[in-house]
Amino acid sequence: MMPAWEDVSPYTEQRTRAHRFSWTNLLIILNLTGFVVTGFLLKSNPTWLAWLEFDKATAIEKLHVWQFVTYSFVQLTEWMYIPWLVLGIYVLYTIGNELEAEIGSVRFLTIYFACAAYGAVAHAVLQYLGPVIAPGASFGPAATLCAPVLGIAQTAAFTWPRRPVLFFFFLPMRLRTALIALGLLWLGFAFWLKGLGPSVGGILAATAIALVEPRINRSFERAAMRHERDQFLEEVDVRRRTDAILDKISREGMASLTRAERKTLKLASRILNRGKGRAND
Amino acid sequence: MTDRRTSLKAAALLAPLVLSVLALHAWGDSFSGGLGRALGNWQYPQRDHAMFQIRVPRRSDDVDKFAAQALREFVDEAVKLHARDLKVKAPTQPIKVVILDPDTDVRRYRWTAAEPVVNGNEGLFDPVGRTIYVRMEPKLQQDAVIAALRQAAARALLYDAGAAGWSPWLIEGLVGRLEGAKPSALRGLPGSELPTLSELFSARPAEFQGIHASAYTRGAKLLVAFLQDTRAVDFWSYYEALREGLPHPDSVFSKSDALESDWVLWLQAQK
Repeated sequence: MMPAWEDVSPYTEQRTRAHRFSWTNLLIILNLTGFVVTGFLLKSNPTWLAWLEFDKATAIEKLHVWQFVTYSFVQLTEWMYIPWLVLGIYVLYTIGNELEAEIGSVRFLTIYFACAAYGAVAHAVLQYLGPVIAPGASFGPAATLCAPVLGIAQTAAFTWPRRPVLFFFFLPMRLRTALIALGLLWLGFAFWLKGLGPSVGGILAATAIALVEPRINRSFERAAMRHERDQFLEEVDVRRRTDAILDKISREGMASLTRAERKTLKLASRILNRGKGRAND
Repeated sequence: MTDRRTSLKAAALLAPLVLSVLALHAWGDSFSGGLGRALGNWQYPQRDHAMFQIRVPRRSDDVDKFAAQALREFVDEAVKLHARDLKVKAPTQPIKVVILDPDTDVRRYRWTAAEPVVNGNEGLFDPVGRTIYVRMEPKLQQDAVIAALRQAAARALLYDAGAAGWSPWLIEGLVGRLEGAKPSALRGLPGSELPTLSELFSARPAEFQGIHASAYTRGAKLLVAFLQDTRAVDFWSYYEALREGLPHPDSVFSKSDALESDWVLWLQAQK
């Protein structure tokens, strides 16, 4: 029997403590507030809602850049959007909290908002090309949390691909399998619910981050290794030359040193002090 | 090292985002338009027939040939009959012709000028692109397409004769004259009630495209025929003044007190 997510998570106790602050919980509150506010604005002032939704006509052409983020907090109140809001909140509450504890708040928030922004860009591309590819389809403004939620879920699947999870609250499966199933299901409904662009953008952004970030880390580690190796080789060379100079001093005295040999001694002194500094660190 | 690493990661994250937003801001619309036009050019290949560059759907065989023949015949006939009175001439610059199939959404190919062409029995001439747009019915009816082509070609000839600034009623009326429309046949056509004379004289181009388009078009054609029948001297001097670019003698017809009553009597006589 595969254990449930809560049974195996090392952070469960921390996460469920009421007093512990997490940015994920704040994002959940913001999304739920967005749901309520959208309900009010839809009835009282749809113009304000248009300022928060993402639409290429305003966000790209008039550079209303806040829409790249705000659209993810606008939750439409029609019945068919509500199950996806609930599922998104559940994913954030479980996987999101775990991921934040694992990778840190700054990285978590960076991934969350990057996925939202790239989801918006993907939606804009769809708005530009959609009328050419499928003229009958509607490509209106985007208002959904699917980009950051799918991005977070994708990052979690890269971090713990074999973690067990209860899919749709009851079906135990591995996180990676659950994410593929969730992604396919979500993309299918996203097409119907006008969230295709953000969903694709969010998943692609999370995948790109998961693939590119380790490469950047590796390249810096390789550069650091190369630097250390060069320093080591330089140290060995200077030591070898210093030994010969010290022999000469003992035989012929300090006055016999050439200008180049004096320079080598100064260099040796600096390198040896550097080595001492490293040892003290 | 850590600071440099963080800076590089931030740059790697933000640079594609900023660049893609700026690229979409600068070229999004033109790229989308270019793609649409390229698709349109592929879906509607151009076939040249002398002065007419005809685009028909890729798999339609002879539509361009009969369209070219109909256009040639119409232009020859119109120039022969109306070169002296209406001063129409055979076109000296090529005219593009797009014969749309019934399912084509013109927005897809950025042929926005063709958006008003919904039905298969009307032709539209876009002076900006020098393009005639006609839409086929689901089952190709040559007569309907030819009628629509003649109507649009008449507009093209009048545009070349200087119709850009003319009143809409005059353009539509002269289109009828070039088409060879008979007043008695127009009078007998089914449709909504004809507009009044003052409505026709003051009608804007939109009225000839809206829901009352058929009534206004029919009224304009009848009005021109009526003026030629009953006030030929005034009409031709008015037409000459327009062609010469003189100030529009708009009130030349409305000054006449008897115009309205003459119009009613003339219409009754056309039965």
